[in-house]
Amino acid sequence: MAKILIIDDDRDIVDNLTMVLEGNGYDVAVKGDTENLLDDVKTMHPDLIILDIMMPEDAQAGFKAARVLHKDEGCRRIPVLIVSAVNQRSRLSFHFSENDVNTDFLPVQGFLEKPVEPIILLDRIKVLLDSGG
Amino acid sequence: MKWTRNFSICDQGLHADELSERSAWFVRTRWKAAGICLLVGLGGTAMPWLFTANFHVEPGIFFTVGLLLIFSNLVYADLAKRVMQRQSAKGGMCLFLSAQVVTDFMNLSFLSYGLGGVETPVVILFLPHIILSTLFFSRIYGFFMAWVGIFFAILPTLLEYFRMVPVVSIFDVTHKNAVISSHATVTAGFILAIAGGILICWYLVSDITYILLQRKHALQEAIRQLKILDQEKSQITMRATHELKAPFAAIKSYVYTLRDGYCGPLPEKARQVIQRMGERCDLLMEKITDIIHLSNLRTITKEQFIVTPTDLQAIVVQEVAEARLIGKLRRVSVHFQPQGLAVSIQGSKEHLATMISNLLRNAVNYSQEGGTVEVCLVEGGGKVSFEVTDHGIGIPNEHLNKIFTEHFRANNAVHFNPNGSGMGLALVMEIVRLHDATIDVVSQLGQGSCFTVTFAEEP
Repeated sequence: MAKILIIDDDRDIVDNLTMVLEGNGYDVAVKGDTENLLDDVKTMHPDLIILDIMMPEDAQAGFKAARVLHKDEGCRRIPVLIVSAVNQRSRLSFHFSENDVNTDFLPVQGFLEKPVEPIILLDRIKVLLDSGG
Repeated sequence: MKWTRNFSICDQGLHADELSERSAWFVRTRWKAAGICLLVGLGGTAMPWLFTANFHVEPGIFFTVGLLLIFSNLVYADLAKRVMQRQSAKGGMCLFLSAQVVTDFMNLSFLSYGLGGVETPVVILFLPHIILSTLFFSRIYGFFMAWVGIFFAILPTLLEYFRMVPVVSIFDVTHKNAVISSHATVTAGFILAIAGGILICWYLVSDITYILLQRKHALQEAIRQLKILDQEKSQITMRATHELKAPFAAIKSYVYTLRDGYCGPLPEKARQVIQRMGERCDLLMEKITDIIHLSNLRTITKEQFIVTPTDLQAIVVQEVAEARLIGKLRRVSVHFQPQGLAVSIQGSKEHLATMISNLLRNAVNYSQEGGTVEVCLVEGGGKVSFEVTDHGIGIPNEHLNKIFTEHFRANNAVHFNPNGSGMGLALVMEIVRLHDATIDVVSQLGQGSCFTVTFAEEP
């Protein structure tokens, strides 16, 4: 079964997501911050990454992590799904299109606002894994 | 009076782009000057009596100066491109502007000589270049350029005085009786007067320019500080929103996992309790989000509010679809007939969506079961009106002036729908204010309400 890496500092959210994902047969790995991101991702070999935006190290840690992953040849193929309490009204740069010139392109394959209905989360994960990101 | 501490050709606050803009303007103006010179030359050739009525001027001098200006501009156009491609574009552009001013001084000197040197008022044409120098360059370099200007302004007279060039006088066809360059005292007097005039001009303009530049720098610094404050405010608001929302998101996630049986099967009564916990959680989160959103909007001034051409109809279509889903639960139908073309206004898509969504939700939530809500967009007279009409509980007349106050809810509204936040219309009013729009309400108790928001249409 596919392996999903959850990068989130909120223990409750992580436990919830783990329950839902493991309950649906996924392997789950957890990382509480974005330190040593590339090394950890390369060690864990996830098929998909669920990424929070705001973490203690940085208010936009998730955005930065997504860009770091996108720049790495080995990690670029892994689909990234942002799951965050921060929404698109927050004046952060949510630019999902590479065609958005003069903006910080956000190389992720999806965004869901917390709390996420398990059925919506599972559906989105299935679509991303089936399409190979 | 203060002097620039470190010597630099251009003002240190100027960027390469600004200098390039000024250089381009300088080149454009020179094309005009070249055109005028050629026209005057042509006029003199076609109608010689114009130049020989009471004085004598050779039209050829205008042709020569016109052609010199055209030649310099062709060189400058090519140089400008090369300079902007260089890494140190600012330094290069300063030298380039400096070269342009000196070349113009040389052309003016030649024109001045052809028209009789200081004998004619042509030397006045040096003053605009002195003024431009103070605008382009640092104060000390502007002072240096003023002296370069003085040199070229008096050069024809000096050369004539020392008989290094033939004397030219427009008042004497024989060019023998040039008064100024023939008498030492008069020549010295005129030279001093020109030098004095140019230096006074430099002093006054550079003083004013210095004050304006200081103000410009202060303004730039204030703008920079405001941007930093704005970013900090955004970060704080975002953190506050996150800190308030995150616990609710976690609670709600637990509700979902319990509800969906991830922690084992639940008895029916427990499922109902979980369901109600989830609903209350949603309401509280909605209230928190609205309060934060409203406080954010109140800190934004109209100048800070970013608007772009927005299709109002597309937003209405999207929000009506959402409202129909909410209305389905209570059998309230929402009617809207989109027009063929986009309805464009200057607005913020995201805030307009919030405003329309709030008005539609209110219309649905305060309609009786099985009721209807009509939505329309009306264009005319350069304005666009968005209108929502319901046939619900209506607003008591005495409360009409309070409904846009945050937390206020009319008694009949509280009774009809206890779960409202009392923030929706306050948000609507702030969004209306930021869009320079107007909102009108017509309501009759027990009959329904009609809200109309009117925007200026984009031409």
